Amino acid sequence: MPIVSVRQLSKSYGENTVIDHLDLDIDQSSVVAVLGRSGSGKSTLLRCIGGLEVFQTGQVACGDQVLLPMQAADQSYFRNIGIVFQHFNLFPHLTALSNVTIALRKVQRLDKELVAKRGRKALETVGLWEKASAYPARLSGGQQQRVAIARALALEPKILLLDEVTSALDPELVEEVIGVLRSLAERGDTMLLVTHDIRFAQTVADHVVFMHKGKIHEQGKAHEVIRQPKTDEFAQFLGIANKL
Amino acid sequence: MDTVIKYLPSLGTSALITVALFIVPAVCGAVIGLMVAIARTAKSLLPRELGKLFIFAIQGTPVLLLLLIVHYGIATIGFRLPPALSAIIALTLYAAGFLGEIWRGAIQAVPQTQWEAARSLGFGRTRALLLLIAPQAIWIALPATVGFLVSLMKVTSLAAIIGVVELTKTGMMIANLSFEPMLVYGLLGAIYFMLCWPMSRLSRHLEMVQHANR
Repeated sequence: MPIVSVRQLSKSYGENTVIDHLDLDIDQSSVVAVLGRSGSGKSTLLRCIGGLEVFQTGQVACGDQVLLPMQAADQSYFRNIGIVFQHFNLFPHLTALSNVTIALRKVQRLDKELVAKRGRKALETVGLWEKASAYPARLSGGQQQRVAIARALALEPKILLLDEVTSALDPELVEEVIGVLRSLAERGDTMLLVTHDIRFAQTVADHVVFMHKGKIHEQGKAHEVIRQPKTDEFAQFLGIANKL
Repeated sequence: MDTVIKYLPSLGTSALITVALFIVPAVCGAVIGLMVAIARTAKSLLPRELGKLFIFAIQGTPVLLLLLIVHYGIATIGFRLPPALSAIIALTLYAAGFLGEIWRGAIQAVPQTQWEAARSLGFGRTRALLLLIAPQAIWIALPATVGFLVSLMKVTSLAAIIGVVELTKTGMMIANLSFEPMLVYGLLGAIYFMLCWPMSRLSRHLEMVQHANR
């Protein structure tokens, strides 16, 4: 039974079809990387699964929650999902710990002890407990992204959705985020990450999906698919991206 | 100097009336202004359009005209209000119109991605606005809000036109009695400055505290 199941999903903005009758399953404890060029529809796919976009046809199921066409996700849909954004989107007026715990306190209304425990555990997982009282502006980009990961982890989601989480970071800061994601993968967390960085996908993911013009062109085990692309588009993408 | 000493108690009393004409409309205007700002940023069209209409009407009307409409206009339909109450109502509407628009702008200046982050954590729209967006919008709105409040303090002097004996009206009467307009109006200016300056000072202080905390 997959954690996420996408069936015949289509999404368009006016005349422009961004996702075209797409099917995708994500199993428990798997780490799936969606690769593709800008405009291939990979971020839109993540946003549809994350309940942030309304789509025209198909169905998205995440755990016990199902999203149908033209239906905005309600609050209960987000119980199963943790989303990490490209630009972190931390709340600047809250400390790192408050960022991590605010949803536990104000949405899930957990008791104080449990909130403190889960907040500490999440920050320790990303190696930033010592920065618990720091405001986001006092943290480096890599640290901010790790707090954003901790914020999503604290919700104990069934799946973590990561949208280009290394794209806004300097190369030396990318490593610390990759380190955190690898440790999450090792402990069995389920993740869907969208990226155009092949090395990042190879390092973290066990399964790779290549998207082109709103469709899945290729998918399979990360090391096999990347080593032996079957379609011209993917080979070209790997070639161009490798050169870059 | 004798004039100053002689009339200082009356100026002090009327300064209190000016302060009341400022505080009550500032507080009531802030409450209504907040509702207007929420309506202006709502998802549904109706509250957004109603909020827009209110702001359009208030911002397009001179304060003096608002005072005249509330005091003399309402009297023609049978409600004769005391001048001070008319002034408070008119200034409250004026404050609500301007604060509502300042705060609407500040709420919308918070990046859309913050709303998205709140939504992804399971926050509904109202709770996200109150707990996550408003605390950021407050700092964006602070300079413009204080600027408006300083102007509201000075606009209270227009209440003299409908017969409220506040600071300016008292000053006019003292100037007529003492034949020392320069001295009296200079003194009025100093009193208005003392009433407005702490607000500007507090605003700057809060901005500095805010920057230091980030």
